[in-house]
Amino acid sequence: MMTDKIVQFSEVKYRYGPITALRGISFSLEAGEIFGFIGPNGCGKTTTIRIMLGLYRPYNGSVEVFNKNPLLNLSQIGPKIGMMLEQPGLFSFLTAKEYLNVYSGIYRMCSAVSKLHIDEALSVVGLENYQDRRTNTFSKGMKQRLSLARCLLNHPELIILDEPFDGIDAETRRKILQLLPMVSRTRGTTVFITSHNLREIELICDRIAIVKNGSILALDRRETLCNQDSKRFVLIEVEPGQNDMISNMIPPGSEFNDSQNLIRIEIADDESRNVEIKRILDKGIRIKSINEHKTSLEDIYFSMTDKDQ
Amino acid sequence: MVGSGFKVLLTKEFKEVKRSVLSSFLYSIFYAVFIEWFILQNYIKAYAKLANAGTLDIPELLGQAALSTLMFAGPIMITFFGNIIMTRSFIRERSSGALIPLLGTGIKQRAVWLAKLTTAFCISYIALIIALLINVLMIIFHFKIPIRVSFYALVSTLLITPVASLAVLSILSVLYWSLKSPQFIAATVPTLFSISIWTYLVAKPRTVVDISVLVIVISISAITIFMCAIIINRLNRKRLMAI
Repeated sequence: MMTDKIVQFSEVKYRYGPITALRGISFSLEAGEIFGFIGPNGCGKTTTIRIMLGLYRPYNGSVEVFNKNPLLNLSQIGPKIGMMLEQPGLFSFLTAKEYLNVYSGIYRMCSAVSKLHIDEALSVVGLENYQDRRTNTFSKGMKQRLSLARCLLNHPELIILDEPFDGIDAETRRKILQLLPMVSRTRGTTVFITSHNLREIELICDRIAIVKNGSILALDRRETLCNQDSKRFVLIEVEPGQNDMISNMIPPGSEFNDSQNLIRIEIADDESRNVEIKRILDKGIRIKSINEHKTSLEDIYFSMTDKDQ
Repeated sequence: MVGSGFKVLLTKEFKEVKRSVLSSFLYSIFYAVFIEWFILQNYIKAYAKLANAGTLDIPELLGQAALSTLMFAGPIMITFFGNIIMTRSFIRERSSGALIPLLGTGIKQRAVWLAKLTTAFCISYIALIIALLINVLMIIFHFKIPIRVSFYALVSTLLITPVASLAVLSILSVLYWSLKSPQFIAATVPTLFSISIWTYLVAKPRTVVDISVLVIVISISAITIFMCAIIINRLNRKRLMAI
């Protein structure tokens, strides 16, 4: 039966000699979703990608990409995949355009389509003015951008990104953040992205898996994951010299940091926030600033990975 | 057998080699010319002593010596210089991670390998031809040695030894692709091969083309290359990418 599962990992285990890299991970990627795979260094992110690409053979479990075993059918599934890996993987003595030409040839694009796709890919990553420069003269960020151009060249059905935000400038980061939801929405492209830049993952991913030591600690929709232990806080910075007054009035469950002159009050909703702020103002406490803090992916990530230690 | 993408990769390899190994290319030609010059200098000095005895046809002997060193150039240039071109490209792509997205496209390992092997062979063969031409001119005009280039010498120098060298090159490539530290073996193989060819040429000097030798060499070489292509395609991709 055909399913919408683009990638399916079932109880996949992998070892590098005596070191276990993956301890039976299971997950699936649905068509058109952006899936974040986050975890600390050495947790098995890159190994997962290499297994997905049919480059490594897991010693246990099964892997299917486009309903096929990538180890045996890479020639069929490879052209449907675009990848941007940790190392840009460029050919040093070719120009950017020649480099993309090699890949368009491998994807068997005719010359008209090839030209169109190459121009489009170079323009998306902002390298159209550098297309005739050799890649060994590129900066790290430019190399990453060219690697992204290669990834988009064949309009893939599945995009695999391994730490795409490493070593790139703010402009390229913003481009990637705009581009991925756009291709996912307009072309129905599925995106698998690994990173330790949690802010970016939180911004674009539909579902997120938190991985540590080769195991998935949590896997859910972004909102569910962030709301499962959701707490809202209001952080009120007060003017110094009001410690006694504040200590006598802060509600239970709240904290006052007298060295930073910061009151941290847990709130349930907007109304309770307004009530608390009004209460403080009514007591005559002089306020410098008010900020609100919501449980972020980062809070969830650290609470889970710290708990696991 | 090769799979799609071979032509694209071949073009890419030629472009990269053209831009990256010019100095090595010139050096290999210079080296081949220098060796020929050095060997002939020694022969001339050695034969000058014999000439005093007045019993030998010295120009004839020098001509034969010059020809045998020319015939020996192929195995050296193709296995040593060709190996440098091939391994440099492979190691560069392995360490820069370029092999991962390339193999991730689903292209056959055999196509990547064959593109590198073909390029290395063609470039080293061109270097061989240039070195041979310079050497022939040097022998005739500088040393004033009369050489008779026979059909056998031509077939041996331009066909038999290069084909055998290509087979050795393919064995070397399998070693580089499958072993993590193949340097020692990879240096030993071309050396042993060159010594074997030299020993054969000295032990069995010929003046006419032996068709059976030609057929045997080409058949063994073709089988070797075919076997290497099968081995390369069956190599674990992880091993290929390991630094």
